[in-house]
Amino acid sequence: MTIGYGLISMKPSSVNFAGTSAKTNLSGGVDFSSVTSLSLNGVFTSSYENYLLVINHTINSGSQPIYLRLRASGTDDSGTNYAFQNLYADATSITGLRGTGQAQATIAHTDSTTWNGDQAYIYSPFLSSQTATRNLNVNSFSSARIVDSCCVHAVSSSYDGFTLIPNGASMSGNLHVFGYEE
Amino acid sequence: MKLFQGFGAVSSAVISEIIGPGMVLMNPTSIDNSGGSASITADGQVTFSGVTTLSLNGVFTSNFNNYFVSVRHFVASGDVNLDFYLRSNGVNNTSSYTRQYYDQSNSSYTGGRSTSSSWSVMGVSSASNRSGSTFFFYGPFLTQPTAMGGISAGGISGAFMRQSAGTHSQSVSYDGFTFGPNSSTMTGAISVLGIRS
Repeated sequence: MTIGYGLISMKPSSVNFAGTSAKTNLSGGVDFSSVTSLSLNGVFTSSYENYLLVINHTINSGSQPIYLRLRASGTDDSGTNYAFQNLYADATSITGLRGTGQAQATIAHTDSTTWNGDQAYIYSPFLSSQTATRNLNVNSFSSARIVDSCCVHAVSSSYDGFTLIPNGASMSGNLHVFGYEE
Repeated sequence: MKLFQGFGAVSSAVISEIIGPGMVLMNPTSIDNSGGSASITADGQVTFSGVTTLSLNGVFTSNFNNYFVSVRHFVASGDVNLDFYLRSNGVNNTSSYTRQYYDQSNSSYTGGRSTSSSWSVMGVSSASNRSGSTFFFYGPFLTQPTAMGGISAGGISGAFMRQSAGTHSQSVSYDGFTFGPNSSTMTGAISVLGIRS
């Protein structure tokens, strides 16, 4: 049996953002404040196939979806290559939403009421094959709501990072990318 | 370039990976239980038998923002909710929770929300077959409102799933939590892991 750490912290090679600030901390995560977009480069590598993204976040006002675009060498794929399926649990209402041929995936939701959290699983982004994601989101819309989402990116290309975009809002918080040891 | 954390100074060169534990097992400073018995194992896991509540103290610290909790469990009788309280210095906070859940049983989906509640409900447990739950706590030690999420797989009607979300609106720092079945007694084992920030 090989004793390993299981989850390996993936420190970005660089971070790009629009807004007030975003920087890598000593633990390898990224702390961000009032950003309208946040890009992490170099977090997907040939070392690991699958990744976990953990995010704690809030926004300046209202309630908004958070979009994701995959990224390679500092450039987002903003082509209509994303499909997503979301499930919303809002009090007694359970609803679904699917989008196909989208320029980004709706991966989560954020809300200004209090803080929100995400556990996003990203499967094979660095491989030259299609990428899949699955996210479990806890958000404070109406004080507490669940958004359960998945996404498939149809292009068989290798990506080394991603961009998060809160729709029409600025976002603050912390995120960390981990590679799953194989 | 890979850096093995804890083996020397951080290089100024580009480091793509920090080889170190992405999650760190949090050893409780103490535990409290009502009914039954509970103990901390050598590696920080807490095992419990026949408890009505179990409190883990000192598992949330300034070292991590977010936490992952993994539990295997079952109850002595019936199908029950798992109730949760955030805790600070050995005292539960019994107000300001909102909880949202959705349950899946066969082809049936149901949901529900409770606001301004005195506790959060984060999962289910059953006497029929074993149950397992995974919970996430976002920012409990920080002096800001806490978000919580959970997934339970239980033996209700053979197989049952609950996904839950909770928010706590007070900007208070918590160092632990209490959980337990809303009826009956519970047996199992629980581990709390800090997620590198």
